[in-house]
Amino acid sequence: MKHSDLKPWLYLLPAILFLGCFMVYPLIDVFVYSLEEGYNFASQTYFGVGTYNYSYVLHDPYFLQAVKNTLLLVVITVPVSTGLALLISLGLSSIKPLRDLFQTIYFLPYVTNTLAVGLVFMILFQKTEYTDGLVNLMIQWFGGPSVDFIDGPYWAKMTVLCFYTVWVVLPFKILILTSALASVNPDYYKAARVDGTSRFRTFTRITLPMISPMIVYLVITGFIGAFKAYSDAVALFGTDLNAAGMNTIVGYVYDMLYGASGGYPSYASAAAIILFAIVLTITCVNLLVSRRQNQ
Amino acid sequence: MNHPNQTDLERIRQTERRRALVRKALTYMALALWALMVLFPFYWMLLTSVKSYGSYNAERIPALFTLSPTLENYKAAFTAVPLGRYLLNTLVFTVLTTAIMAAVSILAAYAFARLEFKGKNLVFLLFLSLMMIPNELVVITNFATITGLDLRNTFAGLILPSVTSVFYIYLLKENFEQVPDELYKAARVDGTSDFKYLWKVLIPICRPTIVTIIILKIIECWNSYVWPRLVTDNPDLFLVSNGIQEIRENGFGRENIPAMMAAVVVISVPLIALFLVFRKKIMEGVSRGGMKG
Amino acid sequence: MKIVLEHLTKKFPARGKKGEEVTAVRDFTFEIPDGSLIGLLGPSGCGKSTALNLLCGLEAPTEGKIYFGDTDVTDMPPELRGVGMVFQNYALYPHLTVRQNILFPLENLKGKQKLSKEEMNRQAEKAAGLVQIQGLMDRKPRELSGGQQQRVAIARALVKTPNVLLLDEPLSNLDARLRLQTREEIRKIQQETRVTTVFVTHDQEEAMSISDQIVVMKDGIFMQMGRPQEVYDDPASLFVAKFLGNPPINVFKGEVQKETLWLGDQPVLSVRGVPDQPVTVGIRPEGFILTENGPFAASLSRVEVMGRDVSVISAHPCSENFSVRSIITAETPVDRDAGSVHFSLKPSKVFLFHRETGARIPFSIS
Repeated sequence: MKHSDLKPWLYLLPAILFLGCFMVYPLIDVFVYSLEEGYNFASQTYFGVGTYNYSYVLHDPYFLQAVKNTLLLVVITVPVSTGLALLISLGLSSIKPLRDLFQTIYFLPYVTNTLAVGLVFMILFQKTEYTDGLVNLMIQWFGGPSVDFIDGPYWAKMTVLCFYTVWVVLPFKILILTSALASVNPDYYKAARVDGTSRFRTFTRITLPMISPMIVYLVITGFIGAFKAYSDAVALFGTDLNAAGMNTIVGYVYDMLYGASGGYPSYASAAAIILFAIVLTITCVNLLVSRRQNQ
Repeated sequence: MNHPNQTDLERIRQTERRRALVRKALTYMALALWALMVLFPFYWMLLTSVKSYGSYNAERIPALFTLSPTLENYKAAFTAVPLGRYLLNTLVFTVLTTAIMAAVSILAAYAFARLEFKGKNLVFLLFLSLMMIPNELVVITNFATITGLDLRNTFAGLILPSVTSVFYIYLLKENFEQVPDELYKAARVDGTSDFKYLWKVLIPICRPTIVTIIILKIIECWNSYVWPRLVTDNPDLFLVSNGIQEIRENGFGRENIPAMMAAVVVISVPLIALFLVFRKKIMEGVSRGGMKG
Repeated sequence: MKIVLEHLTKKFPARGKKGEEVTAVRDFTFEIPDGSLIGLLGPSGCGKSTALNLLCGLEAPTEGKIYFGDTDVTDMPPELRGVGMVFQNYALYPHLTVRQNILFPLENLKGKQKLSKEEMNRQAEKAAGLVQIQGLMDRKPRELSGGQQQRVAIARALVKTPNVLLLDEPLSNLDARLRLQTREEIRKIQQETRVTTVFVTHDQEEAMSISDQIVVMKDGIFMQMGRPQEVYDDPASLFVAKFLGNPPINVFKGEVQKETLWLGDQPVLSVRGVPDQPVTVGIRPEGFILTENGPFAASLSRVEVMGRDVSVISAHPCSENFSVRSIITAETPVDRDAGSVHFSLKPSKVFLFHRETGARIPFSIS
């Protein structure tokens, strides 16, 4: 090989090394792990090859709980956050003064440490022997019964988790939708005004179709993101999510790998692959549906 | 078309104006409400962090302000738990990871954007397809690899798997390609070496994008939790995310929420400051495709 | 429907702290006759588009009144004015088919004006027929050529049978060949529908070729209105004279002394009734007659043969342009090797302007 043929590969070498070691090899290896039955981390031995790991994971009540939690989280937060982001972006793009200020404020959750701010949410929602917490206090003002959102009933815990997740993911969605709205050529709105189009009709017939690619993008990334939820739950309910009954699929993977119940990379791999399969399926369905609608 | 007469018009205009006013007022109210929702947790953590332990626990009904702010919680946050250590660790981790990431990405992007070699398109396609791989799939083996290399509880173990980002390589490559070919040809005519061209011409021209990816990576590093949690169980190597979790679960010896909030404030401030300084850049960078995490 | 403008003025507030208030349209007072095609002409940034937006109702004037016929429409929102508008980039909704685009304005009608499905379709077909795009009704705008998109935009503007049709730079997005063809078509459609039409352009040739009348404006100021040939032959100011005509008018520094126009030391024309003063002189390229001992002498630079006629390019010390261009018929023999060239001037093609204000100074031909 000539010197000049080698040079490009030299530039690529670091990236290839890193990606090879920490992405490509693991990607293959995870499938191998998931098929090795009874793998032992310490001795690095296994009994045989098969699908037992998958069947174990699929019958594990913790996993099923995690799937249920994750699905609920996805089904609730994706539409809520996308809709809310759309409303807020519409509001933002209809005003001039203070717009920059609002945009800056709305973006703040993006740059905060999920774990750290989750702690603030925890104390806002938590009910302890000292205090009912601010949120419960407000519920009581409106005549409702107080409830512990952190250690209480399932629906209450789910509510905070959803609320916090929406709070965390909104900045990104608002940002994307605001710039999508801003990129619609104002001539379309002028043309609509000349024709006397009502506000509602302008929104449904012009604005919405124009920004629909971005909405599809947000829904898909929203699905993927929500399926991978984990640190928000840790932030609110602590590291032992199985005990709290609030584990997510990703949380299950990590718990299987390491932690209180850890040491089972084969189960973790099987769970991770199941997660990947779910996400891939849903993404494909999403794409297909949105493509059909466009035609 | 029959035109409405002037009094009708006047009436139409007045209702229009009134409606527009009401709409504007409602819009501002709704926007302000959400701004309050966003800001309140920040206010609450600041407020709680300056309440003394005693006064906080004496509040059966939380007070919305305090008249006797104290900094003792900040002192506790730095003395009772190794918050300073966590911050330092995170700083080292962030700086090293970001620096290596930048170097690796720039070199790879340059090869894709400017150099000609056999199989370039194929390799690039392979790179791109890696963008779809979720972290969760590869983390398991990486954990095994790092454990096998005996790198748990080391900075190397923390940093190495966090370096690569296909997306940033892609972003940089696109940007490098926008620089006109003529510049490269002119440099070649002048006898400039590839590396010098990259260093002296391409990087200065593409600085905005490079700054953007660096900032995005910094945010990512500062907030990373999952990987550090897996490979470190020695508190001396905890990053802030793990540190805060540690503090929550067994810091301060008792439920000292004000001190916890002081730690949260300390952790949050650097990134918020970074954001306020580079607001435009960060928002632009994120809208070009930065997903959290 | 005739359009009357009375003292129409639009000011935009200053932008930023140091910015100044901008007057995009200043004190427009003129009348556009019913059924005519008017070209609103001016260099870019002169306020043409603002004027169009005022007519359309997208912007409210700061002062002044607009009448459509006898109705004061100044405060009327666009949809009540009965205007159709064609935007520079056509503003066709990309996600709707041609038919849906044309139907869009009709579907907005409410109450008494609401039409049945069949009636809407009938009107859409009619509008499409007018611009000959019936075959394209089920395509999306991106599947059409620029010229076809333009027609769809016109059909959409015409479908409500507006009182007034407004076109913003209708030809600027088309290539040269299509531009010629399309401007003929706009003229034809306008004559078929007899709808009062105002179009905005920065291209003088475009405006001159199809307009009944042109309105020339500059920096928000109304300069002149009239039939294209009138404005060309009788420009009210140096600006109008320079703006109209291709190749452009030749401009000289001159002096009137004792009713004679001097260019440097050459007495080129007698101008009766003009008091002594320094003037700016405009001479149309076709205003030169090659004459052996003509009073206008210049050094010959080159001769460009264009087939039908010949351009003589020369240099004159008083010229404000780089060179002087005169057009003469191809039959006239030109000695290319002669160092200099002599012309006499056609008095009707020579205009005098005030040196400072640029206002036209009339003179009578002796």
